[in-house]
Amino acid sequence: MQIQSSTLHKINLILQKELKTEFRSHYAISALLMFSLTTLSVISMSIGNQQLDAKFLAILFWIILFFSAMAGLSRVFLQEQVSGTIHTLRAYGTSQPVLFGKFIYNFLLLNVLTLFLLPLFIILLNVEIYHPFFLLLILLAGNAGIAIVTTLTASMIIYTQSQTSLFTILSFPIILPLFLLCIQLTETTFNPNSFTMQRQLLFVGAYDMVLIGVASILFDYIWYD
Amino acid sequence: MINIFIALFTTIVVWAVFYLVPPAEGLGNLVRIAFFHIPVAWVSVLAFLLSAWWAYRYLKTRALKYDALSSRSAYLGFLFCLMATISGAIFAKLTWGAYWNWDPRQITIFVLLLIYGAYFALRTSIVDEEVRAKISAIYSLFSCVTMPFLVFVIPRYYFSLHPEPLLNNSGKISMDQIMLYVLIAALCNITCIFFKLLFKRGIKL
Repeated sequence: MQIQSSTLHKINLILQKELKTEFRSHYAISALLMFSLTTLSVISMSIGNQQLDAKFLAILFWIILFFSAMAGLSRVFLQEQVSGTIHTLRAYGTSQPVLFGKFIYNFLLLNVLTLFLLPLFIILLNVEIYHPFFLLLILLAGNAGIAIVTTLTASMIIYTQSQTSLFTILSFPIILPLFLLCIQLTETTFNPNSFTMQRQLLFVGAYDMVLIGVASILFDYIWYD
Repeated sequence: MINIFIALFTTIVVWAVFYLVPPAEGLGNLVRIAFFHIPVAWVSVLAFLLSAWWAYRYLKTRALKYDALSSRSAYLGFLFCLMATISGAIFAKLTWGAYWNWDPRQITIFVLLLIYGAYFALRTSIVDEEVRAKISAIYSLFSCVTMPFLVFVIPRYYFSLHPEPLLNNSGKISMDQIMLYVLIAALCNITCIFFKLLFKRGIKL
């Protein structure tokens, strides 16, 4: 119990640190929000008054979300390396709290992005949502998966030469199964006469769990030389 | 010695594919592509799994020979994966009328290609040998997570034109006897070629 609470405490400390640096610089959140706003406005302007069907809307939504995430989420470890704080973190922080602290931070950022993007998306593209609670679950599950993959790949790209461009390349194949399922699921929430597919949501949840477990094992090897 | 054996084996399999296998019902002579396509696709998945296994061995032992094996296996896997994609696309064009229609298997093989591509991009952008070995081993293992989902989950939700797998749900093998034997021989043959290429440069286990 003692050990567990101290791990939770450490995770919390890492999260607090991330949030504090974010409040000072606004680096990640401004990149995320501006990227999504730009993409959404380009899409909305070029579509004009046309009404898209549910499938296209779901695809567009997840593409905007994914590429906005790619624009901002590589920061978690890159920033530490640029400012030279990674050595201190390595010396004092054990691997699991660092991974989970940064994972939760990325997850929160993605949810803020979703909160910003979804209302604009609904307004600009004239979307009707028929299963709001189910959509919420899909978004949470999808964001958790994107957050864990990006956290692990962000910790890998700091060793490479072409850092941010490699980030998208490395993350995409691993996110892709999640991406396909989430698009199919989101489509059902935009469609009035469709059933919610709980089985598929379970698969998304299971995929998240597997990703978190594997990332937690592998991060030890990255963090300790 | 091994070279001669493999060359002989390949010749026999090629002969069997062209002269022993009867034209299939509905597919005609096109069925002969399958005797190249299925083994090559099998090897590309095998190479992927072996690459991940040696990546795991590297992380456990930190011996660079495992990294060499892992990357070489990935490299060969990529080549076999390309061959499987191309032969599959040709087969699809000739039988279904389109090179590409996002069949579940095509999604799987495409993701496999993407993973291999990302793996090589990662390898070329890290200078230090040991860091490169470590990071690429981690990526190789992390990308393995996608495989069960692509193989078992995605096919449930996408319409497929792909012929039923050999070991299908009903447990029956719906194939001509001769075809089955030739297919097994072709599988063994391509796997032999893969291992021969893998250990070509004198890498020892």
